[in-house]
Amino acid sequence: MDAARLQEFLSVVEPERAPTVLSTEPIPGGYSRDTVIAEVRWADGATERLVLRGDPPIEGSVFRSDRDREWTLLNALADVPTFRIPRPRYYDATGEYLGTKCIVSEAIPTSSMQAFLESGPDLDQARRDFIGIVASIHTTPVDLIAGTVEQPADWDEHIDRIMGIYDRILQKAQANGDSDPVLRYVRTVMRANRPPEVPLGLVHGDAQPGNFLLPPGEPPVIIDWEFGHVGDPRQDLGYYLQIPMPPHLYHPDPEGFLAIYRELTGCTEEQVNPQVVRYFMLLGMVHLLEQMIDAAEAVARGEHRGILGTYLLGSITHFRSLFLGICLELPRPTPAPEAAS
Amino acid sequence: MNIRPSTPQVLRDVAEELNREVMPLLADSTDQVRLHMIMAVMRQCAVRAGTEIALMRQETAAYADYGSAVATATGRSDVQALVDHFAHGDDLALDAVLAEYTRASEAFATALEAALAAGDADLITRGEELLQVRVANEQLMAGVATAGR
Repeated sequence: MDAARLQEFLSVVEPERAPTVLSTEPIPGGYSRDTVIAEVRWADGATERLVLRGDPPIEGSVFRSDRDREWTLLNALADVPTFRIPRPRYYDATGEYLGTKCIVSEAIPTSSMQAFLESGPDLDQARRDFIGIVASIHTTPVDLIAGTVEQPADWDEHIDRIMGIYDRILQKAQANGDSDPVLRYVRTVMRANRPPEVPLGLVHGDAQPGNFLLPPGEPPVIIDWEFGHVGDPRQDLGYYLQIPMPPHLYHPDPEGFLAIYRELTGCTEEQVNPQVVRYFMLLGMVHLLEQMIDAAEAVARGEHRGILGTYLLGSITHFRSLFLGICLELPRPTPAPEAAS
Repeated sequence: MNIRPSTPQVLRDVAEELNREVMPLLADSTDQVRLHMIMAVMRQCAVRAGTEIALMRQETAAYADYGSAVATATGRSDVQALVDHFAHGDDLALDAVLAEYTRASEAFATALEAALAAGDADLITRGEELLQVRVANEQLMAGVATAGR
C-alpha cells in the first residue's frame, strides 16, 4: 500500500481527476489491519487525505476478517440517518493494485474519543455521549441495510451460531490432541443460562472510544467496521467491558451506564442489566478468542504468525480467566431428573 | 552440565540486552512496539521455563484424584477409564509431561461435566476450585494480572 501503488490505483479509478499521490504514511498500532494515511492532490488543485485499510500478510497476522464483507457493510451504512462513518471511496477487491485487498475511505481530520477521555473531560457527560453513540448504532433500523447485509433468520439462530464457536474451538483443540477444561465448563454453564431475547440490531463488533472520532462541531464518526454485523446488540456492551484503556466508562457505575442505555434504546431491565451484560462478554469476545487460539495452535505447528501469535498467549489466558469468573457467578445447570435422584 | 545462569536467567538477560542496546537504535515506532512485544514474550518464557513442569505435575495429580472421586460418586465408568488412561510417570522431559497433562485435562473436563450433570454440589465446587487453580497457574506463567473485573 505504498505511494506508487496508490498512484497507479487512483489513476485507474479516477482517471478524469488526474490524481497525484503526495505522501503515504503507515499508522502504527493496529492489531488486525494494516492502515496507511495518504495525501492526494486532484487535477483541480484540491488536496485530500485518504485512509487505506488492507489485509496484512496472512503468515504474519492473528486476526482475520473479510474485506469484501466490510466493503458491502460500509456502503450500506454510508447514508444511514443514525450515525456517520468515513465515506467509503474505493476498493481494490483483488489486491491487483495495492498488493492486498484494500478499502480506501475519506480521512477524518480529528482525534478519537479515547484521546478526548485521556484529556480529563467531564466523565459523566462523556459517558452519556459514549452511550449515545453506541445506542445510535444499535437503534439503526436493520431494514435500511437488509438488502445488502447478511442477517440471521432469528435471534435463536444467531445466539446458537455464536455459542457454536465454543464447540468449534473445543473440536479443534481435541483434533490437535489438546483439552480445555475451562472452556468446556464455560460452554456448559453458558448454555444453561440463555439470556432473554432482544430484537436483532446492528452490532459494531469493536465498540470502544478509540473507534469513535469526534470532529469539532460535527456529529461523531464511527470507524473500524471489520467485525460489524446484524446480531444481538448486547454483544457490543459485553465486548466493551474488557477494553483495558482508562478511563473506563462502564465499570465505575454499571447500573448508571445501563440506565442511560435502556432509556436510549427502549430495552427493559430484564434484557439489559449488569449480569446480562457480563454474560454477553462470553458472546461478544469469543470470535476473537477463537482467532487467538488458532494463531497459538499455528505456532505450535511451527507456523509463524508474527510476534502477535505469541504475544497474545497472555490474552488467551486473560479471557479464559474472565470467562470463568463470569460463569462462576451464574446458576449451575439443573441436572436431569434421573441424574439428580 | 552448565546450569548457571539458568534458562530463565538467560532469557531475562537477552531481553535486557535488547532493551538496552537494540531498542535505542530503532527510530520507527512500529518497530519499537514489536520489540517491546518480543521482550515481553521472552520474559514470559523465562517464567514458564522455571515453573511449567512443576505446575503441570501438581495439576495432573489433582485431576487424577478428582476424576476418581467423580467416577466413584456418579458411577461413570467412562470417567474412570480416562483417569486410568494417563499414568503419573517418572519421565520429566517436557514432551512427556505435556502429553500426560493433556490426558489428565481431558479426564478432568469430563469428570467436571459428569459432576454438573449429576448435580453433585460438593464435586462441582471442588472442580470449580481446580479450574481456578488452573487459570491462576496460567496467569502466573503468562505474567498476566486480571484483577478488578
